[in-house]
Amino acid sequence: MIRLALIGPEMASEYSAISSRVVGATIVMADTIEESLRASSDSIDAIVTNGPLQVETIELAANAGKHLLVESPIASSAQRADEMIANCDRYGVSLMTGQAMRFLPEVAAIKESLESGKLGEAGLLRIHHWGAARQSDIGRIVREIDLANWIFGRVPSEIYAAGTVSEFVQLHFGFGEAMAVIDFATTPSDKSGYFSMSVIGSTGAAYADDHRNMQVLFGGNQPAAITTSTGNLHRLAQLQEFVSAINEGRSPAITGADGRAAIQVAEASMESLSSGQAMRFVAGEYAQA
Amino acid sequence: MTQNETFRVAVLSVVKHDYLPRGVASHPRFELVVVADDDAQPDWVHERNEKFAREFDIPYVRNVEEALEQFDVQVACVSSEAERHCDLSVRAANAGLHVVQDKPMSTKLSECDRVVDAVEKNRVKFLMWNRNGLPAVVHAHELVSAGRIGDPYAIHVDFYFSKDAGPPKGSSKPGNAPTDWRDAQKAAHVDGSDGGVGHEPMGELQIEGIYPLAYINLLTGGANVERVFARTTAHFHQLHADNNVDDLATVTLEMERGLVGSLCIGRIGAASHPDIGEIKIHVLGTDGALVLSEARPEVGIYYRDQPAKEHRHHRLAIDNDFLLMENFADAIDNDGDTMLNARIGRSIVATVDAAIESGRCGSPVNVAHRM
Repeated sequence: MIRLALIGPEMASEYSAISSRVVGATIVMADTIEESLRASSDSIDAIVTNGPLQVETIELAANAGKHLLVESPIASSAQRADEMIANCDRYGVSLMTGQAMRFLPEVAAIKESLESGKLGEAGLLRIHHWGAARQSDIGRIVREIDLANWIFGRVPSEIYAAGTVSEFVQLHFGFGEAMAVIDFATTPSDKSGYFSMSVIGSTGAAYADDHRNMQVLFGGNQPAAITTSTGNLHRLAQLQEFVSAINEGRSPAITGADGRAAIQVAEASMESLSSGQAMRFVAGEYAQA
Repeated sequence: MTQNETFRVAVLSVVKHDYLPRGVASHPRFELVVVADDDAQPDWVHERNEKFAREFDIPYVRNVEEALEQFDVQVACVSSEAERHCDLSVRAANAGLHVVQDKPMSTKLSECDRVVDAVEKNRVKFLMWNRNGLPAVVHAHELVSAGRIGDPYAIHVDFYFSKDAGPPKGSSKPGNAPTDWRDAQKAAHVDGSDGGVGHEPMGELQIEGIYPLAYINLLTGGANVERVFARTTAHFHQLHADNNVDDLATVTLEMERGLVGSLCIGRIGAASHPDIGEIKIHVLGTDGALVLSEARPEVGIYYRDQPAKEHRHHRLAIDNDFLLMENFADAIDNDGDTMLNARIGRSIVATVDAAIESGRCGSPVNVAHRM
């Protein structure tokens, strides 16, 4: 049984309903990483926190032997992410990238269908994600980029971005012969977002979208479409994976390298957006095509 | 032209699906009176033309100009192989006929230019066949036109149709000759999966791209696509791989007025959807957004021993044929424009050409619009 600290009021809020359901860990709350280290340095085994984190903060926690789950984006740049990963490796602690979207029930079902071979070779990924604007340019797009990397098992070979960062951005990726199109929009109402994800494979296809899952509410002037939430099970699954990986002494399902790769693609996407040029992946780096 | 006049229609070749002349004939003001084609066409073309003429109990004439002269026609309906579309349309327009033409407009932009020139010089009406009269598309247009989502700034169309095209990619053995495009299309005519009837191989962007791009044209108020970035591949079918054309493609569309859009299109195989395919439209506006399934309204029908290939969901209230022909008749009566005229058709072909080029070169490509 490990002891795990959730850092900050946002984490406490997101995980409050499910923290008691995690097997193999007891969970405590702390306002900051520094506070969790000061108050109970010996008793805390792992820390769950929002990103991006400063390299110095990571070093502090890693040096104290704390395993880390850092919500994506884990760092403000790919270079910073490299430094974080190096620090965690140096002190022998685990770094998991927090990316609960991978654990969404519909996303997990699609991935499982792909891995079982039912859909054949993935050829096209399409995601629409509309909702409240996120804090930073990279933070706005990095999670869906990770989904694309995960689906195709690599980073894109080509990147092209269009739109404006503030209201709408559209990413277009090539993965060799496969492809992905992802759009992000700020909806007029922050209360209602929209998520749609489809994967077209060589022998089958999967379609998951809020449109399919709409219910109808009568009660106003016109019937309203509403979604039945899939709840917080994806956060529970992510936290459980982190705890299980520590207890079993293995790498977590989403590594720091995964988080770093998504940031690298996000940075290249931003460059494409500002330059109007396609970016190509050559020798581990992106450059204008 | 009196507004109740019936238009006499010459069907100029009907070698592809015959949905177009049937659609024309569904409107009470259009009467099919003759099928015609060039005598030099091969036997299989004449056979299909004759079969259609017999069904409608109208003559089949193996001379286009003679038929146009002898049968007192006002409208030509062109449904030949893709490469001959524009030439037949130009000849009809030069004979003073209004023209309804099947997709794709052409495999060559220069041919589209010939049509634009002929239509405008002869002051006749031209309608590219499209699906903008489907209930969901009409509904979307009504909502956008009424300002329900404010000013549109982004639009996305998924146009996946779940048809096969012969054996799957990878099924060809080493040393096998590549599948001949025209032979494959002729063979596919039996089950209606012959989307790209013609001599030159065509990708799905070329064959079907006009439908989703016509939605985008309608819902953006006719915004031209200025630049595209595309990825194209043959992902599913040996036929497409052998002929180096796409059966799966994605296109980023950068349009006039700062509009951005995307198109995902593919012939994704019969196993990949329970019905005709996943076709969706997403429109984002300054005051809201719209998500529509092109197939709706629909009814689900399931029963014991249902054939595996029978669609479980049936589209309802389809009135596309009538609405298109009503629009065409109205344009003739009032010297107005059709919903998808020769210039818009040409613009869509230019967009598709640019997307194919972008898919080849891996960079964004400007669309070559007619000045």
